[in-house]
Amino acid sequence: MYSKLSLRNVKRSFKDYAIYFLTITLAVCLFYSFNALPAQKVMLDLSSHQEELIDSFMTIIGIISIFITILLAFLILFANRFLIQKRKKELGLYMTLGMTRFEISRVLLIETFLIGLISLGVGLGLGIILSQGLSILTVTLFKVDMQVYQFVFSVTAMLKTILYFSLIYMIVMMCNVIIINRQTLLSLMTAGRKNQRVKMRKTSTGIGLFVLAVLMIGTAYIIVLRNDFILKDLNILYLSVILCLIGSILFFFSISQFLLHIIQKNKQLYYKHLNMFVLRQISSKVNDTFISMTLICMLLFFTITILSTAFSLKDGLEGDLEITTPYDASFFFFNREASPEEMGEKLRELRLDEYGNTVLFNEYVFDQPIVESVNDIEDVSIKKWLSQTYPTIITQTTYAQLSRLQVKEPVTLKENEILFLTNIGAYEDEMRQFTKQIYHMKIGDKSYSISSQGYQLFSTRTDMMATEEMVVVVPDDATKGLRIESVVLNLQYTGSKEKADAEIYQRVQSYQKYKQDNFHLVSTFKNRIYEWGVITSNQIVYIGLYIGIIFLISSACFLALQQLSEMSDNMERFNILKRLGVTQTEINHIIFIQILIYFMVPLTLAVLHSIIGIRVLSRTLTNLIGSHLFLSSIMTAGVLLLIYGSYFLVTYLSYKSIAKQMTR
Amino acid sequence: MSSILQVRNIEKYFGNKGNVTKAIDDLSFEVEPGEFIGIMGPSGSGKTTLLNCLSTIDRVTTGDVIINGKKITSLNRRGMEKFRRQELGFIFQDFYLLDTLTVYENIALALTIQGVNTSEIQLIVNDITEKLEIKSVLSKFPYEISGGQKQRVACARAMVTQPTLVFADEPTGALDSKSSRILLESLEKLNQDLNTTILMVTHDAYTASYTNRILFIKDGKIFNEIVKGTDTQYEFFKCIMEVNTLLGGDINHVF
Repeated sequence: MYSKLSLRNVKRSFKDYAIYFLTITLAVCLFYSFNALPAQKVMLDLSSHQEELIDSFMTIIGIISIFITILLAFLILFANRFLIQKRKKELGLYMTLGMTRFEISRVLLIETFLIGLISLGVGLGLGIILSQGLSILTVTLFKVDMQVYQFVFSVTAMLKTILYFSLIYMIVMMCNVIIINRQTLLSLMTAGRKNQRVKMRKTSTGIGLFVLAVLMIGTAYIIVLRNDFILKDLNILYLSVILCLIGSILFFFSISQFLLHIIQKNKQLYYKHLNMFVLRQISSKVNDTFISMTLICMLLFFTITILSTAFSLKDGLEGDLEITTPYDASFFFFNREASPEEMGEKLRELRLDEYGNTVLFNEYVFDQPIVESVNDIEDVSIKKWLSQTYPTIITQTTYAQLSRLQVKEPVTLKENEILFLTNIGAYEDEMRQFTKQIYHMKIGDKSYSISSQGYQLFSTRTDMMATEEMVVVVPDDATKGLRIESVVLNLQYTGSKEKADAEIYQRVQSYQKYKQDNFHLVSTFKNRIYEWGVITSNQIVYIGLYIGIIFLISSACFLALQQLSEMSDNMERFNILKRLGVTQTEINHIIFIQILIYFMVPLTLAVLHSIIGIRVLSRTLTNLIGSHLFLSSIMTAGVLLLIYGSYFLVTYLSYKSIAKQMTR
Repeated sequence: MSSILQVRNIEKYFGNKGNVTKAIDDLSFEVEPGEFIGIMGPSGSGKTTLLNCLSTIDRVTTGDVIINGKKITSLNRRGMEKFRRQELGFIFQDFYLLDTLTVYENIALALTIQGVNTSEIQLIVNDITEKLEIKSVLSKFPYEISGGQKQRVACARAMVTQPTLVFADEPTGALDSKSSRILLESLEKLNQDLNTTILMVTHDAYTASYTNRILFIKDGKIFNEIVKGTDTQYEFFKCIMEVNTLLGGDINHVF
């Protein structure tokens, strides 16, 4: 009997449930497809090392999934509360008919269960389709040949999805029981009545606040754009983030008042058809919406930034690897007590020259920031950078040997000339400016001139990340009296790379095991770094996609629910308009405009924020390639259009159909 | 063709095949231009259904309604909406003012919907608000003014477009007696000054006594009709009370 009632309720109020259903289905779909990623392993030819990396990646996805589940739980609870709110009268009617609270809770329980079951089923189905799409993405990302196309299905991911979402439904059901138990019959029956009167604010304050908001956001933009080393000076970054945040809050608080005021000035426009109604309509809601608008704007900002930089970051990271891994393997010691001869001896003990050509060299270090050794520089930001930089130093001989090992023509250096090296692509601009502005550098008592080449993009060892901010190549005799930081050995194989990698790895392991002192040997292998790099960068892409899309869904769902929860107030207004002779088509038009404005305003500001954010990221973090950024921006726009657009459409359609039913 | 409203043998059924309720049963009457006509009747007599059918909010099952020479019963939805915009005005028991607009904007909206020029709007609104003595509250929002003022604003909004016919549905229903009197006097004044035809549904005899003519409805049919003619308002009121007693309606609905 009760289940019949529930079933009919679900069928009847499907329009109300549309947003709820859409959100859960999308969430289930994403949750499944990202948790099903390891199932794709069967398609890829992976080394055991890569499999280990993928396992650790899955741990990250697992942790993110927990956070996402919590976020979704809140979202679903919010949606559920909205539905209960809408149906209070109906529930009150059940109560007057003699149903107990327990029985009403049971009806709701079955309803939640049904909706949950349907959306879980549909979501999983879509998830299985989406994960096939992700497989294709994986194949492209990992640049591997697909051995055999296989239909990917992960039982673990399915069970996990069912478990997590069942938990969410359980919480929703519990909340429903609590909500119902708290209600009195009176509060249920009078729920439809408005107890909130609209209070309108004066518009003059809105203008001041809007100008302030624009100024704050503008200042924040200028700060981050002017400051080339924003990520190094976190205080300035925080300042601009806070400015931007407060500016955004004020922006949403005042924009409708501002527009209202501006348009009111133009009487022809304001008193044209229904313009004033629409404007007043939007400005009347500002008190309830500005906080959530800011939240939505921030979520969208993260979505856009994450999605459009994820692919570029991947390219940047993999591009960096080209520069940072010029040798097949590198070995180095850190030990301040031991002499360089001792360290060199230890490295020679490994007998690495059996596998190919080696270069062994000392790395010296400057004990003072480089700014004190060069002529005065006017550029403030460069000067600031130099005052924080302690360069590493190698000799001209070492540089020539390393160049030969890389099969690269070295820059010709005169006897008292020095050359700067960096392996961080993002610093090229600064390096160029810096080497143009200095004429000489002092080491010890002697002064050296700068090579006409200035700087070179060069790595002195193979490493996972570009960390060699500044290396100075100096004449051999200039290193006297400088402290040795470490001893490095670079190796270029002549024979089989796989065999060498495996054997040397073994040798280093056993060396580490039997070492009797605190000589710590670090070894890096080009192949391993590449395997690691490809997987890491793909992790960034996947995590970016996962979080970005979930954020997008959350913000769109939040917006949609907010619009729909205002519906009952607006129905009354639409009824009045109809009596005044406004046609249904015009009312639909008003609904469209209103929802469009609500969806577009936070999106517009978010897009502006992201443009600035991406610019800062692209300049500071990696050398993002323009064309890739463009492509991923197009892709982001596509995802945004699809998901945000469908939420907009569903909101508009359900709004419209309810408006048609409820107004005459 | 002097009548502004002609109702010819209209019927309105509710329900489906098995169970039909006749809300309006073969009803006919006419209203002359400039008339202030009242419709009275007990609960369930079909007053509201009649008003809805006449004001294009609902459709009749059979019969014709002709307003200003236009057969509204044969208009399509679009035509009806257009007709409503151009020819009709509404006043409701619950005022139905837009809470997000100021008093001035509420009245102006009725004009902007019709595409009236901005400069004209100002003049027209000023004119009518002066007549209704609500000029002092023009810049206020509905929640800032009294019920009586709200209803007069609603009145102004209904009249400002100079409609052929104004429908008033229990306009004094939510007002105290003093505000009711002021409102009814305003309606009477507008009826006389602007020669606006007003059709008012009420079950309050005092309210009804402001009209020129009253139709009594019971079970969807016209039960009686009384005309004020040269009677004073008090005599007319007594007359209404007599019919009401005759009508056998629930006594509670009279006072």
